[in-house]
Amino acid sequence: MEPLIHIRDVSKSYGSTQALKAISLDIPAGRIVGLVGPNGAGKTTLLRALTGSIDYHGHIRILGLEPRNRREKLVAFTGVIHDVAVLPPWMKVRHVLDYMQGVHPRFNRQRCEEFLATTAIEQGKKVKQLSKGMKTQLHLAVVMATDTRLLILDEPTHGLDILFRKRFYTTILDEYFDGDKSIVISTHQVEEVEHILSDVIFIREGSVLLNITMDQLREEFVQLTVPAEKTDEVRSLGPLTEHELFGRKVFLLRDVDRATVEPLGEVQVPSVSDVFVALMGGEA
Amino acid sequence: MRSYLSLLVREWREWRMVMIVVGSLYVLGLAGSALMLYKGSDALIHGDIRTNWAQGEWDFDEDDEDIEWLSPKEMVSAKRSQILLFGWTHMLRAGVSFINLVLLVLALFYLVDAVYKERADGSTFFYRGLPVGDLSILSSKLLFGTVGFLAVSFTLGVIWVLFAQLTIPGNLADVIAAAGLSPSQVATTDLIGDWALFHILQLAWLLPFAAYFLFVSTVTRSRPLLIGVGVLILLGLLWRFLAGDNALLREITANLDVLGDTLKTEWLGTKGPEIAPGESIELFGSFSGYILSLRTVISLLVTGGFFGLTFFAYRRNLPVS
Repeated sequence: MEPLIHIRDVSKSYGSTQALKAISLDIPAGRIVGLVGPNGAGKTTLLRALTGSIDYHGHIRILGLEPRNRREKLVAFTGVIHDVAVLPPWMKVRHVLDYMQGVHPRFNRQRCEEFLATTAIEQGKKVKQLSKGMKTQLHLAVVMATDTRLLILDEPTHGLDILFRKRFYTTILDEYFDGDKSIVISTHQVEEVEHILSDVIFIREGSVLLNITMDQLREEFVQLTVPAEKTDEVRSLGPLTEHELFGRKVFLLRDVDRATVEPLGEVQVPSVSDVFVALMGGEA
Repeated sequence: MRSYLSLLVREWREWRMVMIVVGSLYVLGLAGSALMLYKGSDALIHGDIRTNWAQGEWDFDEDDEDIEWLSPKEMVSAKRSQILLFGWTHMLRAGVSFINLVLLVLALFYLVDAVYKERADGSTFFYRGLPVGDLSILSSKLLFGTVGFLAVSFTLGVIWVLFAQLTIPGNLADVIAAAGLSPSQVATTDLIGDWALFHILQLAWLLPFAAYFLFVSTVTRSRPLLIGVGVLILLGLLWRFLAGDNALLREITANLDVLGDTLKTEWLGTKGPEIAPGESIELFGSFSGYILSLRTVISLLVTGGFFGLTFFAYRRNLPVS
């Protein structure tokens, strides 16, 4: 069965800067995938290529369609929140809804207005008059009211406070995700999405560093906290990282037998951000 | 169709405030001009008659030999006709020329910003995240930047023509007849017909420039207006340097000359007595001759070339600085 998103050897350059370096990926349907990487890693470029917003080299197929040539068809089934700043600032909120209603056959205006009614957004206001949080809510309302199979979120909560961020992801899970639909979320604030992810992809300098399910991640990586006298023994296992915490040593290990390390200390499942930092070599 | 209409409505909504402001200023200009003509012509006639009567001499146009043989009463009437016709036709000419020029300048500003602005503020990603093809997006911009602006120019021009007809003091037919002009030349329907034909011809002239500025808007990293206009001027100068004439610059401004000539010869009546009643008015020499010419073919080819380049550049979504 063809994966929902099939990416082969996708590259993209901006002048002398290579933003994507022959990336290959498969993302199955019904998943919530986190695309995680530091600033400038190529996340946004990849997502823009997925939506056909930019040209690229290589091959991408989403729902069987190549975004480069079939953008118009593809985005009919794909919801995108690139960034809160992409809504046309001169448009009034009601004009955004008018426009959506005019061009998107799967947009449900009534649903969108119901969603907006739960917010402080007035339809007579211009987008540029809205706060950053309101812009996100508006964009979210538009996307939630559109019947799509794939939702692509590019740093959707960037610059927003914790309350907005929590509400945003709660809404996504409650109102959108039903197990058949898929979500790809790009972020460099991995801790705020890891609880909802089913898969995670680490990207650095235009290359995929890790592509793994959350279940695999929990099996493959181990966080081991040991007393000082056990340090050398753990070091012989080749840990990815080590640091000190309250007089004890904390190691992150990969591909080790749990039965082997359990006698040495306290074994825990590492957070995605711990694994991310370890694989990024501490640069994040 | 509904989707395409939404694209045009979007463009209109973005620019409607500008249009409303221009339209409002225009209406104010209309009222002011009508007032000046009405009051001014009366004052001029009476003042002139009083002065000349007191001095026992008349100051008619020396070229107008017929007037010499008129009785004093007829001379007053003829004088009034001259002044009214002069004021009216110039009001007509100034009004339509002005609004046409203003709309052309606005179209230029619209076209250089049409894609650039969306690239600069990031909203291109919103638009491209929706199921509308690049061809539809770009053609709607070209359509709005040409037909849309010319339609506004035409509409405001028609309002001006109607207003001028309504505000002319006295009996228009008598005035026109006294001036020896063919009535068909100044019939409202003829004026509006001329105005419509002129806009069709202007569209043929405007299209390649519109496509060029849309291309500039799609590819430049900064200052699209400066770059777009600057390149045209440089090309004109380069042409002059290489070819030794101003053919390119003349072609660029040709339409403006044509408007002026058309208004002078057809509407101001300078050729009035030479055109027999019922004779068709020929713009640009001949409407069909102009529109079915090599010039139009070249216009369309250049338009197609720039539009094709714009289409491919738009797909690349080039960043701005």
